[in-house]
Amino acid sequence: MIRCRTGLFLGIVLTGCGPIYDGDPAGQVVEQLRDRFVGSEPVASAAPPVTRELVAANPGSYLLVTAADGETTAAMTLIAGQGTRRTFMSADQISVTVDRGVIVATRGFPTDRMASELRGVLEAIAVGGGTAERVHETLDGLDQIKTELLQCRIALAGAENVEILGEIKAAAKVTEDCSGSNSSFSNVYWISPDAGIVKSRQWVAPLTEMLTLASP
Amino acid sequence: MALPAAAEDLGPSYTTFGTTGLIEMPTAESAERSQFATTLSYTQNGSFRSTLNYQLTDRLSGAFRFSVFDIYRFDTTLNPIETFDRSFDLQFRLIDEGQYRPAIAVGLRDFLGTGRYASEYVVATKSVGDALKLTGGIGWGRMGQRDSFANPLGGIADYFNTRPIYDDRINGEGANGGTVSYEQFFRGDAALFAGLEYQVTPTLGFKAEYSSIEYNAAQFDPFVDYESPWNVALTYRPRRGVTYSAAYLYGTEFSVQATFSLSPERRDIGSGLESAPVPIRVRTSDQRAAQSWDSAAQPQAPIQAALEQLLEVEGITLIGLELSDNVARLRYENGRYRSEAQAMGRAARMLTQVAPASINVFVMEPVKEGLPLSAVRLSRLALEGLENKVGATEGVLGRAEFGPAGPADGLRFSNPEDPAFTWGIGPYFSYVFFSDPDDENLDVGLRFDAQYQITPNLSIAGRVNQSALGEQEPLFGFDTPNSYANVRTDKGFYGRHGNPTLEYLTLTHYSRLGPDIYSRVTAGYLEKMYGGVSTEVLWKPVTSRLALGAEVNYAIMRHEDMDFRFAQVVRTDDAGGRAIDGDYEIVTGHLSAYYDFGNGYHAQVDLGRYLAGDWGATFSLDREFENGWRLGGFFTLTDMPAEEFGEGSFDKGLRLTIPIDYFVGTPTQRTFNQSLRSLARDGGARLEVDGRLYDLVRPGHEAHVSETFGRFWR
Repeated sequence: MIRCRTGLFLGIVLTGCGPIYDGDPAGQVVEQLRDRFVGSEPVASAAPPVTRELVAANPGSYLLVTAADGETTAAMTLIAGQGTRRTFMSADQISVTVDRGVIVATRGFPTDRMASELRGVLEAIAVGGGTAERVHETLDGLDQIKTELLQCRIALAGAENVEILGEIKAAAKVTEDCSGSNSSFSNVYWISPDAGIVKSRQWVAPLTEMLTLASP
Repeated sequence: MALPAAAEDLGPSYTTFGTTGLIEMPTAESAERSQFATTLSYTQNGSFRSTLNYQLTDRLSGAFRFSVFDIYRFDTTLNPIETFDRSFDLQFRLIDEGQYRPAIAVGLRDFLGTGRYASEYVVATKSVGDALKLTGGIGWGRMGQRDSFANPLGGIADYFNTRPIYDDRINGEGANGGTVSYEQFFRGDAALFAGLEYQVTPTLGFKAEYSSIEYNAAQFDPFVDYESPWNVALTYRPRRGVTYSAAYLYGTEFSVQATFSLSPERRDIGSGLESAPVPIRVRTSDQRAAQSWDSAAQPQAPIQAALEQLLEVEGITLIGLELSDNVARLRYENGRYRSEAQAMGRAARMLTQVAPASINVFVMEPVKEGLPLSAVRLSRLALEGLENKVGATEGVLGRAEFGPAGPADGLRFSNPEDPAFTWGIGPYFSYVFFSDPDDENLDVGLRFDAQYQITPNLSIAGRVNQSALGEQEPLFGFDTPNSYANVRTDKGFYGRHGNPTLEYLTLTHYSRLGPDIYSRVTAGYLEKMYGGVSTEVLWKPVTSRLALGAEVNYAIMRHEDMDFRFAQVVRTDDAGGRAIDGDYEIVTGHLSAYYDFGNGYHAQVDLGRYLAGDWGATFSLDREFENGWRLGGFFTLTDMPAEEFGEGSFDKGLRLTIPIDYFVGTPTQRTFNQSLRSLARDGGARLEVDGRLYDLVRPGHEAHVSETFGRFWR
């Protein structure tokens, strides 16, 4: 197949055809420069294709992830597991790794959580309160790993019903307020007595910011 | 959480000279470290400046500027003449701003070259609250004119009392510039200047200054209709990195200006927009206990076929695979990622999917142009245990062993499915930066590319351009008569006839002569102006910071129509005419040493013979950022006398490389390259050959892979 790339530069339409131009970033450069100097357009959202029937057939295999804008949602499928960690990936190859519902890593977002160490976070969530520490790794603009130590306070914030894919679950609401040298955020977890964290709103990293996760 | 744009520190604004400051006068402010800022400014009377300012360290900044403006003639009563001028500035912040103490900086403006604006200054800037900045300073040279007084440094030594006239400016037309005017520094009368900048709203600002530059009528000095030392300006800064401003100068004219700034250390796109990798497939403890690979039950052919498909997803080509009981050796070529560390991480994860369970060691061998660059031994157990864990990057890198790539023996080679022949038709757009804006320095047209990979080490590649603008006048050239052939000064005549131009057509062969020795032979139409044969040998051990190379070229000058013909070489005679002077062929060559200092600085020295037959050396120093940005400077000194070289005295310039993924986020190995030569002349000119060995080999070696190892797990 012959593909052509089109871009607009200083009012001149630029199109390249042929295998050499496959994956050519010229058009993207133009878009990025336009975004940088003119401002960007919001991106359209996509609806999740996961149904109750699919979930019933493969329990624990799906994660619904909504981006910080509250509109873009992706249905992710379980693709790997090690110990208590589970990695879910969307069809467009974005992945989230959680440890019993708490995000420990992401890939494919503009800024990823490269790795995490949770020191007492899971335990404090389980008992509904306490203090904990986190260590987060991100990749900076110079491709170097940046490590941040965060102090966190976990507290029970009452009970709420949450709706996930048409099903209503009773859950305890737990908040986690963390602050470190570069970021501070408030995570919220909804914990069902039988299934653990079923829904959450969690910080990932600058630019990507908060993700909402739901386990149907 | 990100701060709203309104509260963001936009950093200092820029002068019409493209340096941090007020309107024409400097301030003691520095941009953020590593920031590049391009300023274009234009005044009503037709003067134009384009400047690239670079914040080299927290304190030191440098600027390179191309300007077009009117200057007085010998006889200042005659109409002024237009001049094209290249100039350099430096500023160093001596003292940081404190609660009561201002920041203080010292600087040189236009200290190299013809020195039309040559000035030195010491300046202090203090902010008052969030919105107001006050500046005062003392200047010498052009900045020491308005209400000038005897040099206070005269109290230290009489030396400072008189400023000698810069030699070049006495000699006028015969002058070459290009030398540092240090004999003038901080000498002669001085004058005071002052100004303020007030940020009215987060995006709108106001500047006013009392300038100490007085535009007196003097031979070769800038011609300006000057009425007043007061200049005022409005600035509009819609977002970080963009400033537009309008000013009223000298009490007589308006000027407009735009500044665009970028910092390699600040990547707006984040860490990149590539898709997530496939996670590691972790072996169970039973599987890990396996001591040997049962090649009968699990033959290599299907494993290799599966791996080939998996790697293709990542834009990686499987070249060869060797499996033994405990070691898998993978030779692959990364066609997608800028960082070889990232490609290695992706390839290793794919290998965990298919490698037999008894294999505990992965030996990764990246390849470029058929050359295996290195062998990196990784522990499979470490990969399994460290994924998504804090310290995983150091954990893998610390255990990795770098060495030369192994032999071809033992590898089972894959048959590449990629077609050997590729082609493309696309547009091209070229613009000669820092040149006369009245000149036809813009060209657009269609470009036809074709490449045929004959063997993994041997390829033929060609490019033909067709300009859409038809026949054009030769580009602004230089007609300084000299006794050498016009080996570069005729470049502006090449490919301007509106016919298809053969940009290059080359046959290239790479080989690895020993574990640490590589070679290249390129033959054909090598570049715009020359055809011939270029040969190169490079010694570069995988773990060494030093590399040594040798290059020998036989070059014949091409016809200026850029077809298959070679030139009837042209010389510029004493009367300025162009006379045909037979063929031009020459053997050039260099011995080169490359050194990676390890802190982002790379040095290169080349000793040898240049295109005009002159002998000498080129010295280069580059600052390379881990994310692929690169800014370098170079100069060449040869035995060609300065008066034969012409204006500029010797060859020098800057070069800038910006990785395209910095802008687009999606992984690509493409880069944007721009050379900013002060003047391209015949002395110290080198053949422009694609695919020189050092830059080809280095990305697979230890220092470079380690620098971007943060991307291994991305």
